[in-house]
Amino acid sequence: MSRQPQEIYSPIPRHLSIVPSLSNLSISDQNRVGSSSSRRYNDSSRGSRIYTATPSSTSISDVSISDGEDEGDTLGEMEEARSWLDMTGPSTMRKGKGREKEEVGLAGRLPNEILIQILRLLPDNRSLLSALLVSRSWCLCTFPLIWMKPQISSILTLASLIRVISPIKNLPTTLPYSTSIRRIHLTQLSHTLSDELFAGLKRCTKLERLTLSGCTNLSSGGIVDVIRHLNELVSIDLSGIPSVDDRVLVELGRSCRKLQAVNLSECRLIGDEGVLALGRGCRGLRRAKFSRCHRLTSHSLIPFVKNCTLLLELDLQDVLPSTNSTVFTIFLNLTYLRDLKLNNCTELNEECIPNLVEMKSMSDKQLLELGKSIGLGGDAVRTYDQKEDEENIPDISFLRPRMNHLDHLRVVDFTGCSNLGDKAIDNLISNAPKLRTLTLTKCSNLTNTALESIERLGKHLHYLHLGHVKLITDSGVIRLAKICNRLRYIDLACCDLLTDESIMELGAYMPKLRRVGLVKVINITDDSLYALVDRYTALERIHLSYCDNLSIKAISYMLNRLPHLKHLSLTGVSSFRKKELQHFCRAPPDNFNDHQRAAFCVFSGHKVDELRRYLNEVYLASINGGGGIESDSTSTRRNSGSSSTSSITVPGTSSPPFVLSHQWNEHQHSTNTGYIYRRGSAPTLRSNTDSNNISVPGLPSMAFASPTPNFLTPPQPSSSTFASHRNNRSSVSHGLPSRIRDTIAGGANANELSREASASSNDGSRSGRVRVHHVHSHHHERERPIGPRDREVLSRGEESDRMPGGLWDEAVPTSSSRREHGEGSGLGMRWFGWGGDNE
Amino acid sequence: MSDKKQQVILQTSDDEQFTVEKIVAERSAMIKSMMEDLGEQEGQAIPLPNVSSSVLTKILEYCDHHKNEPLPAADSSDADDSRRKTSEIGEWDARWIQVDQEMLFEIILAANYLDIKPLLDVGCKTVANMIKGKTPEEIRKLFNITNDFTPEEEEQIRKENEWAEE
Repeated sequence: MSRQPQEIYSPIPRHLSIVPSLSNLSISDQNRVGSSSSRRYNDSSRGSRIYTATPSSTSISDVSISDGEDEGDTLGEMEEARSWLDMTGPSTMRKGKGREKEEVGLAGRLPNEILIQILRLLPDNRSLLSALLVSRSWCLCTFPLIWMKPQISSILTLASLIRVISPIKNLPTTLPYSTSIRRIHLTQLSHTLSDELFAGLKRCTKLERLTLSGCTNLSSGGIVDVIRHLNELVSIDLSGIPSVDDRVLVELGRSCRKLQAVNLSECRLIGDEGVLALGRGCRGLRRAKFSRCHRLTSHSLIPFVKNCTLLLELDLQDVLPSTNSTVFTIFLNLTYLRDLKLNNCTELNEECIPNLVEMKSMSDKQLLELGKSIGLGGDAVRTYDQKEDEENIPDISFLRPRMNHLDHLRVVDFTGCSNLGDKAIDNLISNAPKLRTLTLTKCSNLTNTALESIERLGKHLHYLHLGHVKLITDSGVIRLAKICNRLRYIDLACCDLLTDESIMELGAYMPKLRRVGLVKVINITDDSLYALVDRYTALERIHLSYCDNLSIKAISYMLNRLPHLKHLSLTGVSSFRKKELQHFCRAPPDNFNDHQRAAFCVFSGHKVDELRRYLNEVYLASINGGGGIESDSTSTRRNSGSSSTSSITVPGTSSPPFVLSHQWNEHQHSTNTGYIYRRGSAPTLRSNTDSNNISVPGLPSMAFASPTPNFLTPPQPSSSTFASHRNNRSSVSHGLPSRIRDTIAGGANANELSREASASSNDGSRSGRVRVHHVHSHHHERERPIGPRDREVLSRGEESDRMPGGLWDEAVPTSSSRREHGEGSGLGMRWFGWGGDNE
Repeated sequence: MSDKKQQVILQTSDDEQFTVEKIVAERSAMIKSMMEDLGEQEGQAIPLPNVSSSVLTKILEYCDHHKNEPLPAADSSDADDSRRKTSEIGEWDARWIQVDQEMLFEIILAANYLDIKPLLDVGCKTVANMIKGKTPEEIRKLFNITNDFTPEEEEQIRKENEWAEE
């Protein structure tokens, strides 16, 4: 195709940079500075990839806007295209000012950088397309925005895009569209994408990110044919394309030297030859995913790791042949590693992780011995470096650790490495003191000793998966809970030696806990649930399937304590095997058999709220009859246990100066007045304008919202919350259906009130003081400020007025835990973001 | 210099001098780095040859209002992005920037020159809001821009970019 030399075309502003963080990377030309004149952008482009074309022979800055005003020539002519493309010169403003006619407004004189910045703020393509056709200079600023990351929603869109960039009769396109394309994301086309159409992308020689995940109809040859031209490629995602084989990898290694991220998950044909070539050619790789590439062996993986020492993410999930020596090499060489996945590499055992500090001080001879013992002896060394002539001098330099610690390592996944031993974990923790996410699910050899090692991570540890690590016991978990108290997520599924004691510790020490997995921790009882939600109420997901000792009552109580709960699994919990409860359960997965379907019991999203409401409204009555007695007995039991901690009303804060006045409790009991459980600044129902509004400094608002209906009152009087006054108009004795009816009737009102409450209580928390409002209510008792004891007994029967569960949610800001999790495990995934184009 | 309220003198293109608090002037990264370069030379005016007194008056109003906010990080491509995404303009800013078009563009140019990122953002967002949802002709009218396409060019470009309409 004869085409205008690219360098003439307008520079794409550097601040359009896609990959800002690449600055750390060793790409030699990343800081080439383009022709833009603005100081501001020189500053802001620091560390950005630069999209400026190579410096052109035509001095862009010498051309003024008015050159483009010679008009009337046909588009096909080079000179025309050149002249009006040249208008992009940054000197537009300077020179233009002199020549412009007065009628051209300031808008016409804006420097292009600024115009582009404005255009980037336009929300949609429609506005951009308008801007495109305003004038030539606007057009030049706009088209890269449209073409840089073309949104390709269907095969038809792609086809018409390709048609534009594959012009007929050798006529160039009006603008250099094809080389403006930087990112293409074609996953959504999946099997409809054919080699034939895909071949059109050859022309996108400036393409930096290509996502083809799941485009199953592409052939290896078709891919090779295109990537041969993509010398600027930084990231490619070929996951799930079955035809990808070593030829593709060889081509990547040859043509895409700037490659930094490659996703080859489920490309099952690739083998050692391809990975060796990839490692040789793309030494700047930072992310490599080989998940399920089951043909790979240490013969290619070890050299690959030694070549690509910048790797920060390496995924060897289900690469079953991965050996101790591979993992050993990883730990010795990958200084920048953040994220390592070794799921189901069952070959790995005790010895797979070196102790870097120890190795540092070893003699050469010792190192060699150690290397040999791990499978990194003579052959492994020589095979890789291919220095046959040196075969007598084993190269042990790579056995000498480059560092004492892998300071960047945050995420390690050893799921299913069933032969892994405690010693490996101990070395892992020594090497990676800042580990944030550790997955040891099904590492069934691990014991409490491993937990003791994990303890050393302390506050760094946020996510811990110990499912099926069946040997661990209460004593290990209890210790861990006290030290690693910043955990957001802990999974203990099937650790069936654990009892309530473990769970109580989790409840007592982990203020940030968002998700708890207790599936098949069969020994736990209702006590676990009470303890779990006793102090902290931020939990969002709880998995309790097959914990068959749990009662509806405890779960109802828990639901009312956890306003943020979005997921609750209770499969196989017999107390929940009730038609009316399963009504709220989500549909079982399609592949379940009848038996599984019958047992399936998972509540998620708003169904949790509906379940809570239902339990409050309907079960209230039925349980309440016997509930009083039951809860009394429970409370006695709980009382005898520890209650110094549980009696602290507001966890995490200095003891709140609540005022206690006269014998409130008796009154409450005798009068059956209803009060709202209230914690912190939670938006709970309260009486009209002036009921008690208590805020506690330092409390995250909402965290302690827990209006609890009486029948579900936490069995121990001293725990949970303090009472606040409530409008008592509907005071009724407990358990009466009439009360329930009141509740429902008053629903709307309650809703309003709660909103009001939330507003004012937020104020309170902001002011950082504890405020106690006196109530002007119909009830004489109301005049009395409440005290800590008040919470111990809420009159039975009043709570029905209290909000049905769902009310919390509207005032509750969506919790951030999901986000945190994403960040935690993503660790800068945005740098490359497989398919991040969607953002 | 008295440590209480350090003052800076700014001199505009039309030779007017403004004495302003240092903390206000430092909103401009350009002035800030200039002051650092110049050191503390008392009474020395900082020349701003690209800014007129009327525009500077307006901008100082902005700087004064925001003087106690944290300065944007020097190298903040991330922060840049997040700021851009929220296309909302603060209430005060929105009122403050209700000026005629000429002044609006002068402010943007000056903000660019003075390197006051948040202000540049406010300006750009304001203009973007003006463009949003308009046809090319409406945009030309709004900003008094001459259509310098030939009809053929215009049609061709429209066609070439049709795919993006979705």
